[in-house]
Amino acid sequence: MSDDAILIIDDDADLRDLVRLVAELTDVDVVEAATCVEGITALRANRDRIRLVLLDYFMPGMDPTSCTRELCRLVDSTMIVLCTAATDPPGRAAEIGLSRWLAKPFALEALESLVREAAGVSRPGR
Amino acid sequence: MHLHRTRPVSVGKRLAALVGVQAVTAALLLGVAFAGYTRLVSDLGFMRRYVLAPIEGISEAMENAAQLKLAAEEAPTSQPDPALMQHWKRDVGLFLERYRTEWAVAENSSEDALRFHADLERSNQGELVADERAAMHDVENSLERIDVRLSASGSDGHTAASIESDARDLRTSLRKLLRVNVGFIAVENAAIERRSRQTSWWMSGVGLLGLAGSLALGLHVRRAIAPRIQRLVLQVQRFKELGVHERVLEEGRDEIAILANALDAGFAAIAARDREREHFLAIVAHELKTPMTSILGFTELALARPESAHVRARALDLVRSHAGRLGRLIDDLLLAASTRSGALPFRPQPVDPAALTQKVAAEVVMTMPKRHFDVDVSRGRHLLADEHLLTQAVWTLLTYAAAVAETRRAINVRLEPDGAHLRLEVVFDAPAVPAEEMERAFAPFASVQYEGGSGIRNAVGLFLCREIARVHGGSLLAMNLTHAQRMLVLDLPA
Repeated sequence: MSDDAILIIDDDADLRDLVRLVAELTDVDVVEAATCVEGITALRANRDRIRLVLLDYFMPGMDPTSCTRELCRLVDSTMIVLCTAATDPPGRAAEIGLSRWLAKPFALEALESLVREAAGVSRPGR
Repeated sequence: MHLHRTRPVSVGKRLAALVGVQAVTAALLLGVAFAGYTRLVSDLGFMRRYVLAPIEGISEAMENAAQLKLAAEEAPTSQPDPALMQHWKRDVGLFLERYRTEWAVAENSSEDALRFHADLERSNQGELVADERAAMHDVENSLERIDVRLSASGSDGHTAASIESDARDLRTSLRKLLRVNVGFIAVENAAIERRSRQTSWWMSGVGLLGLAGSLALGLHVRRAIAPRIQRLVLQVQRFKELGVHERVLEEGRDEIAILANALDAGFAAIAARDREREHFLAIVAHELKTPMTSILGFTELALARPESAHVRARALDLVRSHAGRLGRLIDDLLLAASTRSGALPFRPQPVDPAALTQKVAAEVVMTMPKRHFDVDVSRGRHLLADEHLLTQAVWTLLTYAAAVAETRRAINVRLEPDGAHLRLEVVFDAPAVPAEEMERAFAPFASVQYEGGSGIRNAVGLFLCREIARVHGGSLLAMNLTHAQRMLVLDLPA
């Protein structure tokens, strides 16, 4: 088990797979959650090693504002990146109190950059 | 939101009042003009009958008197013809008789004569009536004297001189009668002028009052209409330029309020449709971008790691599974747009509906692995249909049913002939809903959210499916079978 991990909270299994495959060549673990409730639980369990949270906007069970509020109790909001296919991603991020976002569909390089950031190789600010 | 109170009187009533005032004004003007004209005709008739006609008679009488005088003057040199003199005297006598019975104002008690008497008094010419009586009396006396002298035997110089003197008196009396009638003309003329002026004043007064009334009511109508129309125009312009719908509530029940409220309802409907369309487009964008993210990510990853057969296989599988659904979704959008513009392409050809249904069901299951279809199709019947449209309709129908149906319960699909028709029945477990809610699925931008195999997904509504059924001469119905089961029926002519 690595000391660094990324938490991906997304109901799209394909996207979770993609993050896992991108991260497998680094020293970063990927913790997966299909719902926000699962994500909060996983974050509590891995709080010490989670470096980055990738959060989808539309998910079953909990609205994005409530989900973000719960996550921000556990980690700093700058560690959470809203990853959404919805229109106006910056607006959506601001709406739920986040400053970082990644618009779907994104180039693989953007995802790799985030993984490197989590691994501590580089920490580019968005 | 702006609230504009309106006056209780309707615009139609205000306009009716305006038209009423104008009609009354026109009627009064006509009445005054007609009365003035009638009075003028009456005055002129009176003048012609009682003043001008006598003047002609007086002239003839004066001529006869002159002949009588001339004959008397010439008596010393030439013997006058007694019969001729009698004739002249008789003619004057006949004139006097006629004047007295027909023309004399003093003896006339007709309505016109009484009015003329009043005119005489009003113009301080009342003595003309007495003068007329006196003149008639003088003419009568002169005639009597001439008659006596002509009756006397012989026509000596003394008699002729007397007749000449009486004839001169006769002419003087007739001239006096003429002056009286000329006076009558002057009085009647003045009366006509006075009455004409009165008529003009009346007409001017009525016209001015009517004009003032029309202007006042016109302004009243304008004040009731113009600002409200301007507000409506402004609202239309703002809606046209900005797409902003600001409600303008007209509390009144008049025609403008009805128009404003109808316009408002129309704008509200357009705005609601715009919101639905924007929401739908956002959903569609999300539905397109989500699988695109995986496709793009995995293909880039496969290109970056050519040595990994696992990544390559995963990428290809993912592309294959998403491509079909994305193609259908794009087709749905394009066909729905064609339908809304009234240009849905329809190219009929023989189609095997059983094979088509099974193929589409398999395709839907591939993208929605948590759903299970029990397909029971009756083979052997062919349809004359547009295969592309029908495939899209069945895909939409099954996708919608799968989205709405409870998971882990089979969706029953049955295709069977029904007389000259084919019925495709899709029965699934889902709570019964009111008819209005069920009908919402047929709205142009309807969508339904569901839990798909790879997260939350949205299926398009049944608008396109119903339109495709319609162009095939068929129908699409949705109904509750029980409190926990619903059915969709696609009915097509075989």
